[in-house]
Amino acid sequence: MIDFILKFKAFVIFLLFLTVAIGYYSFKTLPIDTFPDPTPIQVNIYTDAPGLSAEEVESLITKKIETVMSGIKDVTTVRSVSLPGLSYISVFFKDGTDVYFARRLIMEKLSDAKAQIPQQYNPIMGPNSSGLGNVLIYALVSKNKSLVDLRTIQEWKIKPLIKAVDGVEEISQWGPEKAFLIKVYPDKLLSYGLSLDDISNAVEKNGGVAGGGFSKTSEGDLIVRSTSYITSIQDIKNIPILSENGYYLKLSDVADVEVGEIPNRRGALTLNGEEVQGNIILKRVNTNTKELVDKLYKQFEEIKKIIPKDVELKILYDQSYLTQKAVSTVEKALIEGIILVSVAMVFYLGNVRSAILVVLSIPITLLMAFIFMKEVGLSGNLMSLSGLAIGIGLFADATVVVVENIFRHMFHNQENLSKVDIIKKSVKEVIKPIVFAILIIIAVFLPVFSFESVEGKYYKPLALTIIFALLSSLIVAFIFMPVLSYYFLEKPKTEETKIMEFVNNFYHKLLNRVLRYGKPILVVVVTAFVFSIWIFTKIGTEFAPTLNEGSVLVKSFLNPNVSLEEAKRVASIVEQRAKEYPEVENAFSNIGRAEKGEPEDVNYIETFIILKPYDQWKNFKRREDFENLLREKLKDIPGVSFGFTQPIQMRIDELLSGVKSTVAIKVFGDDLDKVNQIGHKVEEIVKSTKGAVDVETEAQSGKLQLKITPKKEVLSKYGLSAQDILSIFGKYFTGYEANYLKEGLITFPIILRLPEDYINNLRKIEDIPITTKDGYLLSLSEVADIEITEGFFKIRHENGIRYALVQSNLEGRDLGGFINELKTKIDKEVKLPEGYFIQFSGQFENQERAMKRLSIIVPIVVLLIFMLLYINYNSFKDALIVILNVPFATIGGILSLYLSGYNLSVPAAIGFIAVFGIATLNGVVLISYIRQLVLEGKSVDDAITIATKLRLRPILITATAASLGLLPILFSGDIGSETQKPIAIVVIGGIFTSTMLTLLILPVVYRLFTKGA
Amino acid sequence: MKAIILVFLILSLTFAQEVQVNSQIQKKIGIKTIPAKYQEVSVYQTYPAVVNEDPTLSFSVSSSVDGIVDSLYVKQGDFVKKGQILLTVYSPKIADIQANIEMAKVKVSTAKQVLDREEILYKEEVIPYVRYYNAKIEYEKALGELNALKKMLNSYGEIKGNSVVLRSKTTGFVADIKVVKGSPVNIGEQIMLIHSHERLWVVAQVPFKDVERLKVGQTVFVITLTGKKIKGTLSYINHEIDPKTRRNDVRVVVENVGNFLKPNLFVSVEIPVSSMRGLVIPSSAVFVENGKEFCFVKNNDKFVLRKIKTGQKDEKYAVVLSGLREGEEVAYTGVVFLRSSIFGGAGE
Repeated sequence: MIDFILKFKAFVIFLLFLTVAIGYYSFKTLPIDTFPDPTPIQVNIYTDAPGLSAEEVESLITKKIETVMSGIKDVTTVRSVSLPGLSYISVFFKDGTDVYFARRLIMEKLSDAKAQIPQQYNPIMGPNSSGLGNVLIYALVSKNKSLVDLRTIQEWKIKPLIKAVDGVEEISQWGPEKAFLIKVYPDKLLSYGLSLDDISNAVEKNGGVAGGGFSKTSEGDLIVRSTSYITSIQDIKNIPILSENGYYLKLSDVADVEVGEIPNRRGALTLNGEEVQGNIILKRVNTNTKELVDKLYKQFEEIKKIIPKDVELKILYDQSYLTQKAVSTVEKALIEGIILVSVAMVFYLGNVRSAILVVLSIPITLLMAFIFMKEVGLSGNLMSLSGLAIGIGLFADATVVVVENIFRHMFHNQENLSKVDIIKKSVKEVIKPIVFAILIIIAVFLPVFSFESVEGKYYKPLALTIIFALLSSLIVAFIFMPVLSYYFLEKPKTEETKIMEFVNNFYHKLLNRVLRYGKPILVVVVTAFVFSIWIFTKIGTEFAPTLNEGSVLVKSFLNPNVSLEEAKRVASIVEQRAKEYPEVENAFSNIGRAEKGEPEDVNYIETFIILKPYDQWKNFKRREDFENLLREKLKDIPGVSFGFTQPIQMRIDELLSGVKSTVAIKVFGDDLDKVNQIGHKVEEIVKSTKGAVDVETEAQSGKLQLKITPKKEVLSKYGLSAQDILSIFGKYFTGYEANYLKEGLITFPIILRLPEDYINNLRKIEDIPITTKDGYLLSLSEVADIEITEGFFKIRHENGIRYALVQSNLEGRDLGGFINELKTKIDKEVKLPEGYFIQFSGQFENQERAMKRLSIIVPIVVLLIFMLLYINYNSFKDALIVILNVPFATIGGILSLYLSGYNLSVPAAIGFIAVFGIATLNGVVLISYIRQLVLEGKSVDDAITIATKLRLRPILITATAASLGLLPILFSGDIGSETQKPIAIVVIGGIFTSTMLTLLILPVVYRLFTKGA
Repeated sequence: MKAIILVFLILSLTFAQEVQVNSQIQKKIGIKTIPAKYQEVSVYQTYPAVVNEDPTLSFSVSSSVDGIVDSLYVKQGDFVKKGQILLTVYSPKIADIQANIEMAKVKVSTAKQVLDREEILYKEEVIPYVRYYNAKIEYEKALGELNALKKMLNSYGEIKGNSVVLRSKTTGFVADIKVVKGSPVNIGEQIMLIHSHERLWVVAQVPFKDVERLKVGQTVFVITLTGKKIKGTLSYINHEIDPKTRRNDVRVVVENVGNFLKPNLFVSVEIPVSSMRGLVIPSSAVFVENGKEFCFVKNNDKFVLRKIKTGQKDEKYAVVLSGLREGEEVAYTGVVFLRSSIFGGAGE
């Protein structure tokens, strides 16, 4: 093949340019994302049931729908939350299920479910958005306009434009919705002998439109339409409700008619202490965040032109900022890596021309890798790009060996071969070992593909890009480099640089000493290995280091009985306190729920605190420090507990466990009181465990209710049905839409309701008049028992079983150790009744699953390496010697991990996998050559001397390149680097020890083995 | 199970009895305090009511004779003062009487002349006493007839010429006029109605359960549509329940100073249904936890949980029977925050 390549040199050069061009194009057009969306396939079902208590929502709606949904194919988990007035069910599907297919399945079953629940409640499917779908939050702010007006502008002017942007699934809107309110005074009705239903009938029948088909007249063919729209507040006021002798009573005589907001709002969005009209844009599943946000920004420019001048559209949060930062972090690491590796090359090769070739190979390899990525549809995200950053030193390896060999042969050209022949010879010499070596590295990454769930979604792209780049590096080394070398390389004057000579001398002195004291040194190494294994057990475990998002999210938990106004006060304090730090760019909160959104009530607040860039931080250096400062600052707010997390982290946590914290302990059981009680016991235990912060048992009970129970016997005496009483509450208490008002294209609901001073006054509620069919008048307290009781607030289910929830975050401690301590403590201290059980979930679940998988993967990797070595050498002994590099690398990896203070996480494990491959490579390079020399008839000692002399440079080059490539990541404090650091640490540490030991100990072992044999 | 909760509660109580809240936070989350005070507070309840006329202040104007309306000095709705002439009624009967009076006057003067002559003649002993006596009788008879006629005329009221003058007997409004100039009027027929709105009745419909707390003679307030508050006196509680509305009519007498009320106006009546006397705090300050009543007492920046016992309690106020001293400040808004900081994180 090499003959062929050198024959068509011009074509290869053309191919090279083509590759660079396509690669560059792919790089520029590669979709960019923060990281792979780790969220499982889920479909949510909402059912609004205004006025129902949590218990009723649970039994009448949630339970029924849940049962139907759990029977669907490929459904893994069904979680639900029943709140007063809302049932929220999440159905999770097996990974790999097509989300549209899943939605169709749900759709089919939804009609089944609907048949089983009371007919006035209508379950609907939530937007087709993933947990990370909250891509952008913006608010409308105005000095002159009311929130209601802003909401109207949002709803009728802005929303259609934003929904038109491809990829926007839904907009969750906050703030009061404009409505025309008719507040009927029952007292006044009494005077005229009217009932509430009379009023609602009157309002319903006045206004609307009717089509009358067509009329053929001499004027032409006419459309007949009869319209009587209500178009102004005066129209509503003038609605006749009673007429006698030509006089009529107007609605305004018995009711107040005013412009207001749709009642029963359960949420608000506040910005820097003031309520604003806020909106959250939800992206459709599988849409690229960055692209969508870019499109949205463009659309915002258009929108700004059409909204009134005094309305300001403020963008509060956009998820892509993280993408940009994370990607630029990786890009920076890549560029710095390339520079460092280049410097090293010049240093080692001492020849600028060959160094340039090697350096050139890296970008070409990367560009080729981009082509692969683009073709398989892999987006450029933190994980996939990390693969490139981590492997940057590896990608030059093949080229280094090829170019170095050509270079060496040119220098030693004793047979006076032509340039083409030298290249041919050199390439042929190294092609087998190089391909083999690269294959080893590729092979070690293969088991990563067996990862499942989150870790799979995160680390498969990483492994994939590394493999792509390694394959590309082979192509570069064997197709482009020979041709480039032909044009570019010249016969060098000296082979070795001065420094290299010095290093070589020093190394050999050292090696000789080591060879002399072979056995004792071996003992030292073995001890070191055993010691490192002991240290390994001391290292904490976690799933992955937390990604710094550049923002903090404070969760405030309030008493379930607080009002929206009280919650707003708390939100504003949190925001103001946060804003006291100059590092805080913006602070805004969402309270409760928007129209489509969270299963939360007004007692739950999420405050987003957007921080300025890292370099502007003065009062604190780490996000955790800021959290601690703020936690301390918020301590004096009574009756509120706080939790700290980050926006995206919280979403991911929530999707994993249904809970917005790192650790979730679920107490399952039938009796809600009992599970809550056990939950509180667990809470005490968690609180007393080191490392636990923000411990919180979710309030599931303690919601006060006004309970109205019709007295059956009294009702029957007057010929009333229970429904007559219930409808008063169902209709006139909650407020019901009796008609609509048309203002141009916009329609606003007209809502009929009792006045607030009735709804909010127990005595007046007792006195609500009830008219019987015979015209008798009764008061509510005569026909119903009215009492205040305590009921449930939030009922959670997982797969149909009720559970209580204890949540906690973690600080200054590893997750694995924390959970283990908790488990033993809980086992000892909590006695569970029969049928009750406790489950840990959250990030911990991932960790456990990933670690379990890794405990299989890592041995497989080692075995795989061994197999490959065995196949290559066809010698058990040699394979065994080379595989010694694995423990060598382990020593460094573990020590550096321990010293750096990082926990053993999935990325660290991947670092180990990578370093096993790289370390083996070093061994292969050395041992192969020794073997070759021995086969050529040299004595073992001579072979070792020659091989170590000649192979020192390539080994050092690969090792330094691999470590230098990682150095930028190690010292970067930028967003996104935290997830790569464990990999970098392990790899650098591992390479350091393994290289040292390869060069010093392997010869010793080899000699021992062969001498012994 | 309950017992365990109780143990938990007691434990938590012994540890956390007070909440520290600095004044700035107090203001921000809306905790307000008020000192407990010995006082009497009344609790008012409003009921729908309608304004009626006071029938004792209505006057019907009618003619004392049959006749024809001669002249009409007022129109409907006019304000009239007591004694103001409303109308005059021409009556042939009056004319007849007037004529007869004239006749009688002539008769009297004739008789007087006869009597005077006969007296002189008698004194001069020209005629016998009997003749003089007869003349005297004739004269007195004529006089008597005249007087009788005059009295007759007077019995028709104020007369001017041949017409009866009808004056208003009260200050008020001309509510209704049934005649125009020239209309015939019959005796006993109502010609017009004069109302006085100086005093009005307001009839409220009160649910029976609230009636038992009311007392006749109690001061109440009438609230007009425009929000004016007018003092009144509860004068009567109907002995029967309205069968249709199942409510009890209660009458309030109101001095209509300023003329804010008009008959048939719908108003509300604010009636103090209960009054409590004692150490009073807002009822929003009191909360119940596990069947026991508590409130928070402010002590500088601290709010101390205090177990109390309340007696009378309604929407607005509660009387504290024990656990609190006069002058101690209790939190009455934002209590939910204090409460949940002692009784568990977010609720429970």
